[in-house]
Amino acid sequence: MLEVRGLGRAFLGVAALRAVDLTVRPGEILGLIGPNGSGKTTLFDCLTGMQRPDAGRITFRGQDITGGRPDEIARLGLVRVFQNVRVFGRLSVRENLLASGQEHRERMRWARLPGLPRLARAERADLERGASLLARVGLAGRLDVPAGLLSYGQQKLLATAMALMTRPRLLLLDEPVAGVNPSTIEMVKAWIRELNAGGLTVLLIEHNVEVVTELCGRIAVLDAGEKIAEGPPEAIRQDARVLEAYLGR
Amino acid sequence: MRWLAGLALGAAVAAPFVLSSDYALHLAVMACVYLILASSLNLVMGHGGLLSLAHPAFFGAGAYAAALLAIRGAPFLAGLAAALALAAAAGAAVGLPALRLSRHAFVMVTLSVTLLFQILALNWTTVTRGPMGIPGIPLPALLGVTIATKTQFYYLMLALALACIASVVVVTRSPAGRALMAVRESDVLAAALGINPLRYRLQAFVIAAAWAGAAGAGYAHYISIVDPSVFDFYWMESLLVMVILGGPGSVAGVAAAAVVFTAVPEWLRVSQDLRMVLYGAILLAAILFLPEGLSGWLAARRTARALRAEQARA
Amino acid sequence: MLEQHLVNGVILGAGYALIAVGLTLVYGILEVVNFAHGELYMVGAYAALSLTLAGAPYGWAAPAAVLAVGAVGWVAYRCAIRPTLGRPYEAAILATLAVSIIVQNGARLIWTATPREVPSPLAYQVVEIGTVAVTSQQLLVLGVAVAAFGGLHLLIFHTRMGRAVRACAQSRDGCLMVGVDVRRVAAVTVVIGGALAGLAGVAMAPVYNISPTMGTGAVFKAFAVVIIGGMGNVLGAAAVGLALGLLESLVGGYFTLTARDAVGFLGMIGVLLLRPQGLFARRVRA
Repeated sequence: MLEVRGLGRAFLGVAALRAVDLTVRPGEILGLIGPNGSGKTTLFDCLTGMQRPDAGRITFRGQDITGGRPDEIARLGLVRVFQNVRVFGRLSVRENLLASGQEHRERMRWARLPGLPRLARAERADLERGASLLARVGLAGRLDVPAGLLSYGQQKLLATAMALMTRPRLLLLDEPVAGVNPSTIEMVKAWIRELNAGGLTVLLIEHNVEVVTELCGRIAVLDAGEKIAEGPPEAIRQDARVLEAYLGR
Repeated sequence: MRWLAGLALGAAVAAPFVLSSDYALHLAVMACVYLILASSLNLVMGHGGLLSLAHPAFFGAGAYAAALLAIRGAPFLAGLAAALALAAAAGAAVGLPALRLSRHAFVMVTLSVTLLFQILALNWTTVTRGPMGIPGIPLPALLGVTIATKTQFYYLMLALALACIASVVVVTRSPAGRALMAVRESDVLAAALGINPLRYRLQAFVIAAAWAGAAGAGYAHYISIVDPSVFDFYWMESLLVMVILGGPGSVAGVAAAAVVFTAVPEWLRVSQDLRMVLYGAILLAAILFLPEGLSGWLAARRTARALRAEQARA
Repeated sequence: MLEQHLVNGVILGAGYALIAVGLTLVYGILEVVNFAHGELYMVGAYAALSLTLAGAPYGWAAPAAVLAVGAVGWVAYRCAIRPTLGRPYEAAILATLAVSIIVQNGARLIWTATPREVPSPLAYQVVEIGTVAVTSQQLLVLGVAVAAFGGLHLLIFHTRMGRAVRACAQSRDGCLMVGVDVRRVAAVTVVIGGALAGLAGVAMAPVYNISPTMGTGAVFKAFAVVIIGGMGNVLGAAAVGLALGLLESLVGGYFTLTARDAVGFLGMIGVLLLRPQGLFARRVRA
C-alpha cells in the first residue's frame, strides 16, 4: 500500500532522515518506534506532504506522492492524526465532523447550497457516521459543544474520529495514547483493532511498549534518522541494535 | 434570532416612512452601502480569518467601472454587471498571489493594493480624469423607473444590501463556508483532512470583492461623481471598526455595527478628523479588550452559561 | 543630468533605508509589522515643524524632535505592541493600525491637512560637486543615515543591550532562559526603530513639503523595501532602500511620476511571486 524508498530529509545541515526504506502492507498495523528525535514525525511530515523530502520516493497505492500537496494526499486516502491535538476549536463537534467528511463524498458538485435535499441527505449520512464513531468512544451527545472546550483526551478521540470521517485507506497515528488515562488506553487499543479488522491499514508511532507490541504485527525502528531494525515485535524486543539505541544514550 | 431578523427587516423596509429629514434618509442610504461593504469584508475577515486591507480597492474599482459605463449611456444594470466583473477580476488577480503569502505579507500587500489603486486613479488621467474625477453620472433607471429621490436610492441600496447579506449567509452555511471556517481555525489540519485552503480562501475573497464592487456601483450613481477619494483609507478604517466591534464572523453583529457606526458619528457632529481619532481609539480598545466584538462577547457568555450547566449536570 | 538623478537617488535612498531598517528591525526581533511606523516618520517631521515654529533653530529642533519620536514610539509600544505580544498576529497589526489612525488623524486635527514647510538654513545652501547641485540639507540626510547606521551597528554589536537584542532575534525562548527581560528588549527595539524613522522625517522634512499623510506614502515604500530585501533582514533593507531610491529617481527623471511610484510596488509583487522570502533570505543581522 505504501512504499518508501531511500527517503532523505535534512535541515540546516543535520540529517533528520537518511535513506529510509519502508513498506506498509495492506491490512496490517505497522508500528514505528525510536528514541525522541529519531525522525518519526519528520517521516510522517514527508509522507503527508507537509515537508518535502530531499531524496527518495514515496508511492501510495501505486501513485507517486513524493512532495505532493497535503490536501491532495489526504484525498487519496493517506490521512494523519497529529501528535499535538488539533481540532477546529471554535467550531462545534458536529461542524468538525462534517468539515472532515465533506471533501470525500462522491461528486458533491451540486450539493453545495444549503437547503437542497441532496446536500441535506449527504450531511445527515455523514452525521450519522460521525455520531456512531463518537458513540464508540464515549463522546456521544456532545455534538453542539465547541471542540476547543472538550478535555484533552476527548479532543484526541475527536481528532481520530475526524480522520476516520475521511474514509482513509491508510491512517497515520502519531502517539494516540500519549497523555491518556489507562482505561481510555484500553478503549483506544480495542478501537484500533476493530478498525483494522474492518480493513483499515494503520501506521502507528507510539512510545508505549505494551500498546505497540499488542497491536502491531510488525515494527520498524528509527534511530537518528535511519531505520535500524524491522520485524515482528518479539524479534525487535531482543534486537541488540534497538536496545542500544534506547539504552545506550 | 429569527424574529429579531424579521423585526430588523421590517424596520428597514418601513424606514423611509419614519425618517423625516432628507439628511436622515441620506444616512440610511449610506448605511446600506456600509452594510454591503462590512458584510462582505466580514466574510473574508471574520469567517475567513484574513486581514484584508484591499476592500476599498474593489469598492473604488466597481465605482469607476459603473461610472465609466454610465456616462457613455450604458444602462444601470450593465454598469452594475461591469462593476461586479471588474471587482471580481481584481479580487482574483490580487488574491491568487497574495493568499499564498505569509500572513504579514498578505496584510502589507493588500494595503499596498489599495494605495496603488488610488495612485492609478490619480494619475491615469486619460481614463479616470485624475483628481477631478468623473462627474455627472446619470441617475440609474431600473425596470422603467428612474431612481432619483433619496427614498428610491434607499430601496435600491437596501435591495443590494439584503442580497449581499443573504449571499453571505448562504455561503457560510454551505460546505464551502464550513471549509473556510475550518481553514481559519487551522489551515494545517484542514489540509490534512483534504481541504484545499487556497481554494476556499480565494472563493471568499473574490465573492467579497465582487460585492464591494457592487456597493461601489450603487455609491457612484448615488453621489453622481467618482473621484480618487473612494480609495481613501477612511473607508477601511470605518469598516474595521464595524467588523471588529460587531464581531468578526457574526453576520448580525456586523450588520448592526454597520448601521450604528454610520448613524452615530453623524449625530455626534464632530469633525471628520476627530471622528477618526475616536475610531482609532475605539478600535484599539476593542482589540485589547473585546477582540471578538460585542457579538463575540455575548456568545462567550452564552457558552460559559452552557458550560456551567454542563458541569452542573456532570 | 544623469549624475544629478543619481545623486538625488542616493539621498532619497538613504531616507528609504532609514525608514525601512526601522521597520524590519522591529519585525525581525518581535515578528510584529508595526503599521504605525510611517506615522513615526511623520511625527518627526511635524515635531521639527512645531519646534522651529516655536522659535527654536533647526539645529536644536532636530534632535529634540527625534527624542519626541522616541517617546511616541514608546507609547505605541506600550499601548499596542506589548499587550498583543502573545496573541495571534492580527491583534498586533490591528492595534498598531489603530495607533496609526489615531496619530495620523490627530496630526490632521492639530496641523490641518495643508502641506507645510519646515524651515532650515541648510535647505537653501547649495553645494556644487562637479555638474551636480545638492543642498546642504540633502547632504545632512546622507550624513544622518550614515551616522545612524554606524550608531546602530555599535549599539547592536558592542553593547550589552545589543547582545540581548541579538539573542532575542535568534529565539525568544533562548532569551528568557538567559535571563534577558524580553519586554525591555522589545521596548528598546521599537524605540530605536521608531527613532530611525523619526530621524528620516526630521532630516528630510526641509527637503520636501510635509503633510499628515506623508507617513502612509512612506510606509508603502518601506513595505516594498522590506519585502524585497527579506523581512527581518537589516542589511537587505538598507541595500534595497538605497537601490529603490536610485531607481525611483532615474525612472521619475526619464519617465512619468506614476511610473516612479509603481517601481517599488512592481518590485514587491515580482519578489513575492518569484522569491517570496526576499532577495536576501531571512536572517536577522544588524
